[in-house]
Amino acid sequence: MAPHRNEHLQGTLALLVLRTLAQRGPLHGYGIVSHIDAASGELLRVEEGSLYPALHRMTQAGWLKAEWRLSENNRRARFYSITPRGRERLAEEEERWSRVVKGLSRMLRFA
Amino acid sequence: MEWWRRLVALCRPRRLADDLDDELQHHLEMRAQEEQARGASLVEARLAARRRFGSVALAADRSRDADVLTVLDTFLRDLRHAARLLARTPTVTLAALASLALGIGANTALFSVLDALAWRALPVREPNRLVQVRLSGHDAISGPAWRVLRDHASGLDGAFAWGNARINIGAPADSRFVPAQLVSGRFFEVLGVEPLRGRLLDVSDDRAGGGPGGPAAVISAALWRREFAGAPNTIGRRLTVDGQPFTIVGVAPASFFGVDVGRAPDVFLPLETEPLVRGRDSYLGDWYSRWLRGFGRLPAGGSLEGAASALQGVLPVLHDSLPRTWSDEDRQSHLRGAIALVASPSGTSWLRERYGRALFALAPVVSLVLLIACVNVANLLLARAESRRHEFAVRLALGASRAQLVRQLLTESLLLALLGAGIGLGFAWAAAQLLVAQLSTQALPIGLQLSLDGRVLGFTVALAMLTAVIFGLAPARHASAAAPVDALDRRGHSARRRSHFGMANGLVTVQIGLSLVLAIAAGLFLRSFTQLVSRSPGFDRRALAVVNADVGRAVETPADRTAMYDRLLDAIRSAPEVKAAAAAINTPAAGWMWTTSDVRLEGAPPASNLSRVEVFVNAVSSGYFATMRTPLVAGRDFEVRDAIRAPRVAIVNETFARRWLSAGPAVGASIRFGEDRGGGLQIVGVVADAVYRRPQDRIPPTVYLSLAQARPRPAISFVVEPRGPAATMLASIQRAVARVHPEVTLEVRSLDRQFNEALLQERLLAGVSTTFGALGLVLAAVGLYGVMSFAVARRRRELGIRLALGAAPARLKGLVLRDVARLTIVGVGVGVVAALVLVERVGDLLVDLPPTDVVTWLVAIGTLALTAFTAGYLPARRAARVDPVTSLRDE
Repeated sequence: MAPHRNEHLQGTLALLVLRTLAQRGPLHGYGIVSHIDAASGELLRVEEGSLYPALHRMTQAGWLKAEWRLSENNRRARFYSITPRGRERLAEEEERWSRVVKGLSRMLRFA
Repeated sequence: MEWWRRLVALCRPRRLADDLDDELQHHLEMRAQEEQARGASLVEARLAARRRFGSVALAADRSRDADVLTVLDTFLRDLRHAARLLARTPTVTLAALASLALGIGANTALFSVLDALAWRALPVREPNRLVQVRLSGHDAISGPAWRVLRDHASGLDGAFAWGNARINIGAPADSRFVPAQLVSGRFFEVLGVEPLRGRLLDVSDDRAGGGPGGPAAVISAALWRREFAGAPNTIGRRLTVDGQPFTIVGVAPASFFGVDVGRAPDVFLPLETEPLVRGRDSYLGDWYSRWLRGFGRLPAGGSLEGAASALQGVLPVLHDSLPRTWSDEDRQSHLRGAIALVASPSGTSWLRERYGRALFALAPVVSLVLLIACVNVANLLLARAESRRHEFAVRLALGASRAQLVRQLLTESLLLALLGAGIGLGFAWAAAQLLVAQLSTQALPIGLQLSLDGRVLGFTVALAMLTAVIFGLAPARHASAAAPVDALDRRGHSARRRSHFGMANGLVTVQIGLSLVLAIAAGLFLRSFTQLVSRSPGFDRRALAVVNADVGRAVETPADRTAMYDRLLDAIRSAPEVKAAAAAINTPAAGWMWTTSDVRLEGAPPASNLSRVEVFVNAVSSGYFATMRTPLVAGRDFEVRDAIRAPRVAIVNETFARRWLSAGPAVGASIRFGEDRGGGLQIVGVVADAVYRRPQDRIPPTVYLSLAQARPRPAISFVVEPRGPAATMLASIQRAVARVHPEVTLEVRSLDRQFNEALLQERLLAGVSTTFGALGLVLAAVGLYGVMSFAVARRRRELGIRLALGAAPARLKGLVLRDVARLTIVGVGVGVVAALVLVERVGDLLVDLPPTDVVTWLVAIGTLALTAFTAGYLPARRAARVDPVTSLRDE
């Protein structure tokens, strides 16, 4: 099965990012991509070009906090972490997503 | 505070860009490292990382959009683009900026003066609750009436009164006159003013002879700095007021000037100390001297009507307070009607009453200038938009929206307008000061607080926005009409090019029309003024000096005053530099008048008596008419024998003689002043008409009395003709007068200056409107020149073909000039119609000149036509010199 590009999963990027950061603590952009790749067993592949605008938007919205730190290769990198407002948002997104999944699976079962 | 973070990010664009770059590069490096770890070469790894990522530039751009205020960001980008464009055509930009700066500056200057004069509320506590008290239809009230109001008025939350005075704070020999106000006890309290230093006057000071600590005075912050260098120990020092000692108890705040806008009193004295200051000439107790203004404060939440009706309770008290000796008739006529209250948040103002009308008349003049400037800039921008048509077409073809193009152009206009407003503000500041300085005279110095405050700045910015829209609209509309298909045309020409000329021609026509209106207005004011100045005033004003003397302190009884006049006159005449001198109670154009409306002809039937016609009166010494060079038409001048106990005599002017004594010889007839029980006056002479109060007025019927026979006053004037330069004469007069009596105070000015100061309003109107009229003409000429030059440039090919086919260069010149003539004629038509509508409104400001004065109109039209021809001639000559070969090859 080919890696799944996220255009089929509109609106899930925020969910994936929030979930990742909630679980793993502060990460830079590349770290977030790697984690999503690994955790989804490479089934979900984040479009990297869209990741950064999304990260900046979410930071401006106050869901994420960004700070500059040294990364593992000793370079200056921007690390993102989730804020309390981001956690609230994550809960809402997860709730919404589980409803979608539940609805979809019922449809697939009874259709 | 998301917008705040975004704004901060916007203000640090370099940092933002660097950070973004770092972040994205970091990602690419990490990916490349991973690929290398899997065995790829460095080049392959990097390529793979880029492939996986997609467009780095796009990601950076979209991230940036998330970080900054997008609206502001686009605006700033537009602004930078606009600034670059403006800098690329410096001549056009400078021309536009200069005309805008002048237009906006002139409007701002006038606004700041009018605002300070008429619109701004007084800088006191809650000015909206201030009301003026009017009694018997008069704005001014007398001292006794004020005392009654003070003690018995109800319905007001405090009342106060004040009167203006000019006081001498120097020694008598070294007189230094400053403007002062005599104010009642609650003046400062009711206005809610806090002292800058010390304390302000209060009720305890407002007693005859002064308060418990003696007579107290409050000085202005300006006087404190000027005379006392702002020293803290000024409080408690002595201030000599007309020879009387006062103690300085405090300094008023710098922003405070009282309630009379345009006056800047330097000293505030308690009203009840007026008799100390004026001595025997006090009129605080005189019912007939209405020299005070009464003000009050409405109770919080109270209405004007409520306060007024409560105040009527004072009327019976007032009535009972009138002198017992008065007849019922006199009482009735003295107290007529109800007490009225007038809301006066901006106080009162002699300046507003005197010049407000003229200043308001200048408002349309300066707005016309701005309008012409706008049209000019619109034309300049339109010409540039035309040459940028190809650029617009390309941008449209590349996917820019029309809204984006219009936004870009309006940003350019706004930038121009704001820059122009910025420069104009500096110009306005200087112009406003100049305008006020023009109106300030020796006798009535103006203290008007001009400030570049929020209101003025707001006005300027609003004006700049408005102008940007006015002149930016035409080019923007034009640009939005560009079609993407035009991008294919190598030069961006299209079949619709005529539309630009339609618009440009229309604008130039309007411009010519507007500048004609300005030229006509300027011509009318200028002609009215020159007529006034060149008209003979009936005396020789250039050679003479006026010496005003105050003998009130030097002599005891009125009879002694008359003797003092003679001694002073003799002393002045004996000074070696004095050629001739004479004394008079009033001098021409001095600013005040002595009139009576109750003159009767002796022996004439009642029908011909002169009652109810205002007759002007003056009292002069012998030699007055000779010194003034006013010709004696019949009879004789006053002589020494016309002394106090001799038969009473009078001299009348020609207007008086013509109107009432035409039946027989004027000399020998007798007249009588109604209120005068002393007997008739025999007319012994007739003199030529001469200006009395103002050069603008028709010369009034005038009666001159013999100075020796008139009631003596403390103030007397001398007209003096110097033998040599005036300056040396003055010192010698001062010495001569000091020898007569050291306590006579003197003040000298030239009659010419006194006369000119009476013409200030006319001079101001003529000067300002002529300046702006000329400016309007220049702007219109520049506009016409620009449009015609552009037209010739566009028609080079056509002109080249005509030349090649054998047309004479003179014909080509004629072709262009015909266009100029057509535009001018239409413009003049527009202007004449507009002017006809507008000039009627300034008719009352013109002296002896109808607003439709044909000569003025023809001269204005001629000047405009000549200017237009000159402006059009250069492009026309260029048209005749087109080289057919190059012009055809160019295409």
